[in-house]
Amino acid sequence: MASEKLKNEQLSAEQLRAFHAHLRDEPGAIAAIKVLIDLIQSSAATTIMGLQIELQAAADVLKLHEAEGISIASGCELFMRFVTRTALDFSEYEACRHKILERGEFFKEHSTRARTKIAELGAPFIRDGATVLTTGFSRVVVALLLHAAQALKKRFTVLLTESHASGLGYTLARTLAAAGIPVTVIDDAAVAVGLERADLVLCGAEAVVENGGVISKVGTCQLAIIAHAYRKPFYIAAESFKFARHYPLHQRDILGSTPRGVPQLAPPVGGEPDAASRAPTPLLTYERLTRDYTAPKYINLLFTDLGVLTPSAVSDELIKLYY
Amino acid sequence: MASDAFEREVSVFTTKLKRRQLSGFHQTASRTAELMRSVVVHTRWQTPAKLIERIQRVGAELVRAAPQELCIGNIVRRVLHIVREEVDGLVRELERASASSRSDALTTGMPPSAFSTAPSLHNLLAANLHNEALRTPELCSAAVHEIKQPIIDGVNELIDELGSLVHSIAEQAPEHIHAREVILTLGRSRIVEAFLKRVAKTERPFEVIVADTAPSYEGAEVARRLSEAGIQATLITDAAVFALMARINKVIIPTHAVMADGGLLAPAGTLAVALAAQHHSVPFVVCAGIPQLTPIFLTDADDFNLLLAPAPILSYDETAALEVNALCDADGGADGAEGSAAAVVDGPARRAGASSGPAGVPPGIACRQPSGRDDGFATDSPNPAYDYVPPGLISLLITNIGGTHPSYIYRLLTEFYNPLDIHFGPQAAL
Repeated sequence: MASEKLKNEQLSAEQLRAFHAHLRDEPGAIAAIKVLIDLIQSSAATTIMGLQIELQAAADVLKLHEAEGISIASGCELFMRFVTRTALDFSEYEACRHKILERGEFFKEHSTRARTKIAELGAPFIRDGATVLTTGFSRVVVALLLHAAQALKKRFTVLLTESHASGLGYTLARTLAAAGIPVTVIDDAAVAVGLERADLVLCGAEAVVENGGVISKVGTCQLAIIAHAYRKPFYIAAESFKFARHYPLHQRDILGSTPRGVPQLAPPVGGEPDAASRAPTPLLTYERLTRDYTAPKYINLLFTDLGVLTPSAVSDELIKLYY
Repeated sequence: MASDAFEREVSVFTTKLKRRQLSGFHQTASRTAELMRSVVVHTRWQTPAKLIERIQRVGAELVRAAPQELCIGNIVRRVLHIVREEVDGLVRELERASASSRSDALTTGMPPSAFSTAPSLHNLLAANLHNEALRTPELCSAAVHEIKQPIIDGVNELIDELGSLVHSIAEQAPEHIHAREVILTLGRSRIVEAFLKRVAKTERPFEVIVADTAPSYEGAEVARRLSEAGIQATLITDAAVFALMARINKVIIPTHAVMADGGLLAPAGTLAVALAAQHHSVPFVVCAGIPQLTPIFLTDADDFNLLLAPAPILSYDETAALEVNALCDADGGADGAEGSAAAVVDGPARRAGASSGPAGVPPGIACRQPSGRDDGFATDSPNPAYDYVPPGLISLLITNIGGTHPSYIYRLLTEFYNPLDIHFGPQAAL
């Protein structure tokens, strides 16, 4: 397969290992950019063109990552764009490479900086006495909630869905409770009930697409629709490197890299799954979707490190970058 | 001394703001712009950073005097934007000059003058902006007098814009109001009045229904002024708005401010009209000047709101009567409650109690002592000045530079303000 060949040529096993290590504590986009910077460091290319080809091939491999493909793609694209632009300013290859690496070093710390900025911008939207509903596990959302509780000394409660399949809701709940924020974990299916007593919804995102909608953990879309029906504000917290040049129209447009038709079921409450009775048949298939697309009309505001944006402002940022 | 005179001017203005002798867009905006011009003209500044700092400080002082007058902050941001633009132009010019003198132009691709560069996706990777935010001192000390005049010109243009704003909005009126249309309006504003009168000049027959805008009842005055201008005006109560909405072709209203998400901070009662308009699918049109665009998001419905005196809703005499009623209720209650209720009631209630009981108010009306209150006042009558109208309810925003949709506001904001100035000065935010 072409990608296999590329993988062997472009990324050593070591680099791929490093990538997966980065992925554990960084968003996909940043992990990918770190790998690309390392690649430039070790690259034997002697021209910009050669370097770009190598980077592109490596980016193509990284993008194949199942869970965070879109975020990685947007990170890679942002970086490639930056390399191209820097290349225009330098006539010497070495000088250019040096500059790219220099700025790359600075960028490595970017996700922490971005998170701090978002926390500062978004935390004032949490009022004293508010109840915040959230789903999934987003590092940005955690940073925002902690900033509101610790720096701004807001008193609020958090309603959390258990985020089935990954179960990350429990991890988030423990993190917040340890920081002194009262948390209640509710069923994923109970969001409509929970929302009635929530004042606002705050979610993270995997990618922010061109029309201002977001791609995020499955369950976000239904939450946004319910929030819209209840007239509760729905906010997204996401770093700007997650802005992606995608324009999904339907949910099926983003399914591309989600594993489908795989009957991996979590054990039902009270016992092991009865494999025989659950085995797929020609008329019975199982789908586990990992992400969904939330249309911009359901989103009130996006808290990003570029500022608080309305969904329609996202496209402007992308246009500024790519045209 | 010029600076003394300036300080005096500022203090006179802030005092009037604090006393609310000056309020509203028209009274505050141009005065603020003139003061900003004085800052540029009269204060000594060697570097642009100094000037910006000075503007921010004076601006913050004005904003602190009347945080609810959002246009003051907006004017200050506009002036800061003008300064930054001019400085940026100068820096770029100097760089071009120095680059052409050196043969190897080893400059970076981005314009490195981060003096006005706000964070964007475009320069995310490009530079460490944070360190560069306020540099350029040595660059500009010599050339600074070159930009002083352009900055003053820029501020003068802004003052002119404020002067011609009502006219520029009104000029668009004939495009929006057609013959035999029925318009609903609420609240009193120079802009909407001029807008409607401009249509009257075209001799198109049309009708305006004016909601009386309780509790200020400014609607009556509006209706009178419109009818004097030959417009058929009908005055209705606020309560009748929904009933009449089916007959309305367009709602045209003024606003206090337009917020960053495109929502409005408008006179209380506007939200009810907006919801009625939405229910009947009637276009909801807002007239506002560009200086009313505020690059701040409301984090709470009560942000920047004002609680006005309750007198128009509940007069002083009536309060006295109600308090006595509350007292009577307490009398009928437990003995312990009686003592405490009586003890805390002060002046007016005692006076009313001395006379022959509640006059005019039938016993039992609005007299329930709300739980948790022990100050002797049985009735609460808040009189908020503004409503927040979410952007989804607004069909069109007519500004002095043309009509826009609320979802387009973010674009206008980037055009007129620098993101670095959104929260200028230390205490400017609120």
